[in-house]
Amino acid sequence: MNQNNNIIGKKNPLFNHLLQCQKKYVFGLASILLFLIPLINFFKSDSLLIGPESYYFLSHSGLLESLASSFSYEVLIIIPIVLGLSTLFLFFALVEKVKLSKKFTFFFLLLLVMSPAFMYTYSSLTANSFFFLFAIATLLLMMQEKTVFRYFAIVPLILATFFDVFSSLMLCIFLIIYSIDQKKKISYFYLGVIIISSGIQYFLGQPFFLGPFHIEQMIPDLISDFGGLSGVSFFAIILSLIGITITWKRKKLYWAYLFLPLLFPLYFISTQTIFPLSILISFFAAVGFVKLFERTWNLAPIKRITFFLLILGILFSTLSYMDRVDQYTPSEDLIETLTWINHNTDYNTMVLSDAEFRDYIKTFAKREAFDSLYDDKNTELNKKLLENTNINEFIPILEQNELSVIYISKEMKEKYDNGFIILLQNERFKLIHSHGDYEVWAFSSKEA
Amino acid sequence: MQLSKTQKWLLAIFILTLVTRLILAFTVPNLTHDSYFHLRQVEEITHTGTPLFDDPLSYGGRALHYLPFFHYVVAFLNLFFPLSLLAKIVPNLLLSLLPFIVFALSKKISNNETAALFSAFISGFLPILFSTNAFNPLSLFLPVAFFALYCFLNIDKKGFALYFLLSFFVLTVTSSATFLLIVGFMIYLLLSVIEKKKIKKPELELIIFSVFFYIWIQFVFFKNVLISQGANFIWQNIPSQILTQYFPQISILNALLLVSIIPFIAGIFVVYQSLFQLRNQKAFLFISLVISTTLFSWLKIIEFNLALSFFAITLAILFSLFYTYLVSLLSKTKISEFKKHLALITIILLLPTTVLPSISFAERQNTPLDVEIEAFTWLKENTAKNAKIVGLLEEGNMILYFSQRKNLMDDQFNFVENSEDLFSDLNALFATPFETQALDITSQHDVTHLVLTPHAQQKYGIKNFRYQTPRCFERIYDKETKIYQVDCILDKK
Repeated sequence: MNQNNNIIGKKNPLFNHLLQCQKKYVFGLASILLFLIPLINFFKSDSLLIGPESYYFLSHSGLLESLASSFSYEVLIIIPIVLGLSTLFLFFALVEKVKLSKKFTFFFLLLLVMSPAFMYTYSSLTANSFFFLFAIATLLLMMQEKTVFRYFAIVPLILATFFDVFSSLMLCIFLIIYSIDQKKKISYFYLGVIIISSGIQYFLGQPFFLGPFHIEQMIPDLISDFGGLSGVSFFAIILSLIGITITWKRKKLYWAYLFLPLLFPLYFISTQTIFPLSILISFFAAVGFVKLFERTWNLAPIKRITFFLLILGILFSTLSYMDRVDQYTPSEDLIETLTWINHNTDYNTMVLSDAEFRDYIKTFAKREAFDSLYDDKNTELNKKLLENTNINEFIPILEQNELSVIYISKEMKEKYDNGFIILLQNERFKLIHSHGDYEVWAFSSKEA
Repeated sequence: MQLSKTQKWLLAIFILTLVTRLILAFTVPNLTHDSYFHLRQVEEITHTGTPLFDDPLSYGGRALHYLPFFHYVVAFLNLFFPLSLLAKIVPNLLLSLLPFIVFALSKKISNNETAALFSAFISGFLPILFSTNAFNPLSLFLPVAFFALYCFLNIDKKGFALYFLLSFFVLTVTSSATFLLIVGFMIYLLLSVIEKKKIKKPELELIIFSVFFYIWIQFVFFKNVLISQGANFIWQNIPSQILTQYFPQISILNALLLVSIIPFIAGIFVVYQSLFQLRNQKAFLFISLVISTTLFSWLKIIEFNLALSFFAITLAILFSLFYTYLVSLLSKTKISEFKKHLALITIILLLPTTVLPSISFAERQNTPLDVEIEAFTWLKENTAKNAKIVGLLEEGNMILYFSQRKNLMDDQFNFVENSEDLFSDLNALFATPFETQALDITSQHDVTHLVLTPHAQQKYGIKNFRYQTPRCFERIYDKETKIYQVDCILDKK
């Protein structure tokens, strides 16, 4: 029986110590992981910022662009790290306010911080890294006794609606849950502000979901062990399933179910929702974890082994993700070729390439790409061009759209081996630059 | 020690099974094609102590990932006995142990020794398990899987938790198919909840442990495959052209023959009765296994042979319930005296439906001919070390094992980026009438030799390659098997 309770019970001095000093340890762990990623990239890769979304913000935000040009865009890696640690700090303050159990908070944060979704979000410039800081700040300010602080909540609240409609929707649900769970009436004013602010932005062109910034894959994007860009550990998914079956009977946690019908269907529409979904999965996983190891097991040694296995499994996913995190940075060859375009082509040049390179082209080459993953205006035409094998069709489309530069990566060479690549043997195409596996081709129009 | 009557019968079943299997194994020449992959791995472990995870010959050189426990066990035995002998004895000995385990399981769920003996007999002579010349981990996996289930059912008894853990460990490092058990356990939990049956605490604990342990082992061994192939890892990267070969659409009649007709009908009856009439929890675990096997087979997640083997053994166990039910039914009727003859009638029915199809199945195994092996061995002595040889897909492992040369392709598809293209090229080399196309393929893949075995001749209906000319394809071995040296290279540009 002793062995049974010792793992995460009060009788385990080590666990007790971890629980009491959890703020220190969770911060420490998050800091190590978040600083380790740029460090790994420093040694293994040619760029510190991971993820294509970072380059979307770099090419779309004037502030970030000027920061990048004043210093170096690599310096910007500090922004998501600071955002991540600040969000954690605010979250601890929030936990104290809503009086979540220490044990649950510890495991929830442990699972979340070790999840690839957290590491990805706070190692790259993402909308989520900003949104969650603003959302938690809003809730915290709203919980303050002094009225002036509660009015201040408007500022992060409005800022949180700046990203996409989906984020605003989530914020509304946060406020409703806060109101129900804490039995406090929230002013309709806040909800009104969210609706008005996001409504205005929607009419100004704000998308329902920001992105996507990479080619979406349902399973790998959810389960990091299958090679996704972020996601959560497979162990966390199973733990969350256990958690869901358990909370089914606990009225106190019913509010968590509100997010399930929102996040799961939306995930199948856009995997950009992976970070909030990861938070939900970590939440249920923590519930499952605590419940699993708080119960008395008949086979006490099996309990210990299972505990050890789970920790190892989650650690495995974290380390495996860190091992391949350098793959999500733009390579030196890519940066060199795009910078070459910047220095050697006309400012108005439109570049033909795969849609996923759009933000890299915009950031490094400072040129417009013909297609992007999040704007399908030219998607069909772009696809038609890249898969084309008929020169008589290919050239007129290039001319009509004033496409004069073709940017080709190693992946494109393989992907379009039986596509437009074979047309490049025509005399009107010329290889003007190459570096590593990347090539820049020029197309000379008839007039020239 | 005095053996009881039942024990003597059981021993007799074991000896009969083993002797029949061994006679067939030594009568049918050579081993099945896929066995040579496992033989090569065992030899590698015997010589170096480590599995061949970085194979310089397969596909011209590639990373290879598999679970090596079975190979380690045989490699250990290989220290004392020759591999050629072990390859025929070990799998047959292991599969002959099944009647003991099936007897124990059947007795546990039916409480009827005669019924359990019949189940044991059926499991010993299941046609699908009569690949007597196959040397692969399935022969270890099946008995251990059912032993683990026996331990699971006896979890309340002292020591069985440990036996379960040990057997489950062996399973997870022997075959990824262990997930059949995991899913079976899940369905068992679900059925128990639906039928409002109480789940024993230790059972739940072992299930939780098994799930996490299994996933963890898969991650450790297949981390890179999972990352590079994602969920497609489940389908083992098998080229779509030959997917039907691995997951064939089998007719009910064929399935009936392979799992044997009597246990099949009895099994279906027991499943129906247990689920909808008696709600017999003892049978739930096996019904869950039937469901999980059927489900995965339908989803084309597990190989046909494995699915059917697992299915057949489970049905053999469920037969004991059917027999017990028949006995009790007859007792309640006016023809209760007929009960005495039930055993005899069962034997009469089982003999032609199990033993005969099994022997026939064993005799029809697809093994290479001696002349083919002779030709592949000849290649080892008469070609350069860096030669790359093309044979049929199923002969790929023989090229590696006997010729010790690179092959274009074999049946280990994981991690191979363009397996579909490679398979098309391989197929084209045997089917094309055009020399330029053949040369294009041989040049593209640096192929130096082509082997045309009697199997290949029969498969493609040819005596020689249609495009073959002495200028570019010199015949260097001309017996029943023909070997050609490629003398021309097309400019790759």
